[in-house]
Amino acid sequence: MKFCAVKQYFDDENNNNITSGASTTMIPLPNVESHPLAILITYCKKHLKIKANNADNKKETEKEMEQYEQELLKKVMPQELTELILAANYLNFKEALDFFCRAVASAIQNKSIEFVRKFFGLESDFELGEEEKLREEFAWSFEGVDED
Amino acid sequence: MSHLPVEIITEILSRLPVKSLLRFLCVSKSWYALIKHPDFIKLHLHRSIETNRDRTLILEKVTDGLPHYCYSVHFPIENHFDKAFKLYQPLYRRGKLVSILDCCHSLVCIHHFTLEIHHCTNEIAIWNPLIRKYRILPPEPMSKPSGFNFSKYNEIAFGYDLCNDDYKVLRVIAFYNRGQPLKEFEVKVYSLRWHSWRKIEEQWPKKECTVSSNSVSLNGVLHWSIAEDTPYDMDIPLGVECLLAFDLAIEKFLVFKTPVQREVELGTCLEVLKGQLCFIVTPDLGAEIDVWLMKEYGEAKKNRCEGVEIQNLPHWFRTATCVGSLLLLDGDNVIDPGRAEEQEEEMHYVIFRRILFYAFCVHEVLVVPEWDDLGASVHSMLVEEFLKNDS
Repeated sequence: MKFCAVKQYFDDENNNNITSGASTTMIPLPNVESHPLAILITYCKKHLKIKANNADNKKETEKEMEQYEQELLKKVMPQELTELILAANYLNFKEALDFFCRAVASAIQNKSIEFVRKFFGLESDFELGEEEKLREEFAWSFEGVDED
Repeated sequence: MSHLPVEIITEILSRLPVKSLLRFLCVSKSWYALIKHPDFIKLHLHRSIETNRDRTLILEKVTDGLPHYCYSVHFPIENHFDKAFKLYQPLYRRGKLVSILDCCHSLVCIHHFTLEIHHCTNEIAIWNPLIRKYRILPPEPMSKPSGFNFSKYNEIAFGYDLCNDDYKVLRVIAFYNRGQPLKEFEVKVYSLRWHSWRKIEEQWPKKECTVSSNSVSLNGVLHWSIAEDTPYDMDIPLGVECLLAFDLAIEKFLVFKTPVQREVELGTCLEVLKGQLCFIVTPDLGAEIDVWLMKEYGEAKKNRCEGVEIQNLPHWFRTATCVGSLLLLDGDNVIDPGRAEEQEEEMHYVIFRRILFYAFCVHEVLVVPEWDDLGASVHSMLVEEFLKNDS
């Protein structure tokens, strides 16, 4: 099972000998919104399907997965990525977490500091003059950055 | 906007190229601390090597046998080379040539190149060209023992000490008198971590031996191809080829046999291919180049090494170098890269260019102790695309 947190829930249930039919159990996921969960479920199903179709051919699996991921990224807003990451992290869904981290890295790679702060909800906490010193030291790394 | 936990931020940041990371040092104090942390630097290096995303060739252009200028070429995907950028290197001085000694992870060791082998006061620097930081090694005098009139560089080599997580430079100076075979050696090791030189008691092997290749660092050990039993201090090595190794952690020399028991050839080049020692041999100008892979790393006692020749390589290439698991061939004709079968394994080779280059590979990484900056006067110049048509 890909959603390791959910698997854990089932395992715990079995250990506690609570009788429950798998199809009717309700598992509380308080930290996951419905929208990212829906995307993760789709991602997971697609991943399993591709894997099944290309049982022995790892390269084919990777290729098809990559194509699907590119398509998926076109439909997802960059801001949604944070929610998706948190959901994948909570559910302990490693492949999705890895994919979305890569996606965020790609999205912020060439962006300015201001963009990145806004994206992650951060504020500068440097002392007066510290930030300027750093900017000067690595001035060349600010070249060619995307406009905000 | 929910805040991401620090493990996730680490995951995201470890996938970024160095230029972005250096810029993001300014985002906040916690990001600064995270990026500069040694554990993060290790993670970043590991990711970089795993994905080959930031793989860069550092090329040293050689004209008439002399090194001129360094270039960097981003090379993330096989068979695809980005534009070459000329690099400003920290030992640049008018009238002096700089040569690359070797390369480890993201660090390049360079030194002033001189045909005057008796000149022992060359500057050496360790440089990270992708973050534009460098450190010049402190000058280290030699102590010439009495009774000798002459001294010369026997060897300098650069490598990574796995056990101590340190980058080291080995310097061996030979003292001799003209016409006499007896020599004495001074062996010193520089540690980047401690930024200092240390004399070690271990002696360069007393047997008469002459180094017949470049040095190469593998698994924390420096290697050279040597010619044993060369009676005099000759420029052309003779005799049976052996492998000399220096373990950077325990600081000891070892000698053992090479896979091919043969006479030493001119122009043996040692490389590391797929984590194994690779011998690239040019017997004579114009003759076919042989490439050997040392499969089993022999112990000094065993005195035996398994080796395998790499077959089915094109015959026209003039030089070769290794990058990870790729063999890069430099030749006169650019043809479509293909695959060569080497016994059970696939040997993937890539043709890169016709101009004679010595190539070294770095992976983008942040190895940054407190270093000197290359300063505001640095600028990378975009040069004509070397990787286009023959010129």
